[in-house]
Amino acid sequence: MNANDQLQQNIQFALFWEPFIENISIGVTAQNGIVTLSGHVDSYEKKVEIEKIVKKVRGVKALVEHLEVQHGIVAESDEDLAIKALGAIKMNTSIPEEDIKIVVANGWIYLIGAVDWNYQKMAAEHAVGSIIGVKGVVNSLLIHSTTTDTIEQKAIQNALKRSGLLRNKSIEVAVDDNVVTLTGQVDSILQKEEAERITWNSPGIWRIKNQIDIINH
Amino acid sequence: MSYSLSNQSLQYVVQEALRWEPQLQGTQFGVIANDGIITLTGVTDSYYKKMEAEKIAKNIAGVRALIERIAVVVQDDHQITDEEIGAKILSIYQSSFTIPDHKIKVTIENGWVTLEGKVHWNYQKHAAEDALYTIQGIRGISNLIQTQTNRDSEIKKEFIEKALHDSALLHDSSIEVEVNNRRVTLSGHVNTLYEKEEAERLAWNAKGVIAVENALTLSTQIVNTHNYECK
Repeated sequence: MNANDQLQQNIQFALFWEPFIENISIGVTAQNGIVTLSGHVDSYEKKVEIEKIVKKVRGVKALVEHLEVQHGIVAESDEDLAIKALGAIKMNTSIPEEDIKIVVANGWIYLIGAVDWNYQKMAAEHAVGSIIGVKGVVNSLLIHSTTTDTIEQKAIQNALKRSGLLRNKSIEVAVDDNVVTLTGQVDSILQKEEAERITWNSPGIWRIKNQIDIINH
Repeated sequence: MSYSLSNQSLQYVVQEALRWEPQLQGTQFGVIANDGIITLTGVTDSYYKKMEAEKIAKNIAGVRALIERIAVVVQDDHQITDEEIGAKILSIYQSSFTIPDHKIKVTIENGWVTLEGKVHWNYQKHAAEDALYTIQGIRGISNLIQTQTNRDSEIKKEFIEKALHDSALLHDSSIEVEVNNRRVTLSGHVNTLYEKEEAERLAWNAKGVIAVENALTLSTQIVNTHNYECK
């Protein structure tokens, strides 16, 4: 079996292995580590969970996701979704609700604005993504740290070294004003994303160029 | 390297890792390290922060076990009644596809949530708990949900092995799987508690499992202090 067919089969097995994916039929193709998923799911939350599972499989370098959310129930109106989205944002105390604008169109929720930290951006996405009836979330929140601290290159490098997920990986950190560029090699998307998450924790950061390569052993 | 020195380094690494998380800022955690066993202490204002601290510590190589003694003290102006917490839990359960809400009984007493009932899958038990982390006012969760699995299906050992083998998280660990009377035993070596938990989660996904004995060991090898620059 060639490597593409093997990866396709491994992804199919990984999806089969998760009991929450029962009764969903997902098309999987794999080409040089780039995996494409297609099909229909009945909730946005499920789509996000499926994505997470695929990213945890060995050999996946990138994910192209064409899963469409089709709700079994009668679609919620955009007005109802907007009310629920505002409620969800308000309920989570780590999200600064005053900094976030919500636009809803055809079941899609757009998050617009700027927050101090990446974890707030992620929390907002998660909060609105778990509302029933959402077809998709476009998270356009910018991260504009209000601190005027200069980014400490060494501090980011140390933080990356502390991570158990990134042990024995050498990731280079370059700082240019408010922008951090990451380069180096890791084994999985999971590691690449964790490196980025850890880097976002640095005060003063506005943008990350994540140029880390995923290589297969 | 003497024990006391490695205890100190591990304590330092865990403390710095907690400090690096902006959502934990404003909370001071006590960290005690003893031969790879970490105890976290301190007071925080939300259950979510307590869980975040736990998660961060579990992803540090060298942490072999975690004793978590972080107390949640909800500030007076944020205090929410048990009724309000209950309403939020039920609405979250209703909207989540992973949680069979009609099978779970929820009791709340002074911000402490107890979950009871029987579900088919281990992931449902965990999902019922994980969904509650961000609710304000929760001080603690006792998850007493039982997993009642379908005993008709035969457990395929090679499937568990494949799931572990294909995991990007466990790619450099070698894990032995044994199945005996619907009990799965995992042995071998992993690098972090996070990996240990992921291996267990994957084993639970086998249909028909009633217990997972997680005998995976962790090394005390910590962050390479040669590369790691202390301030």
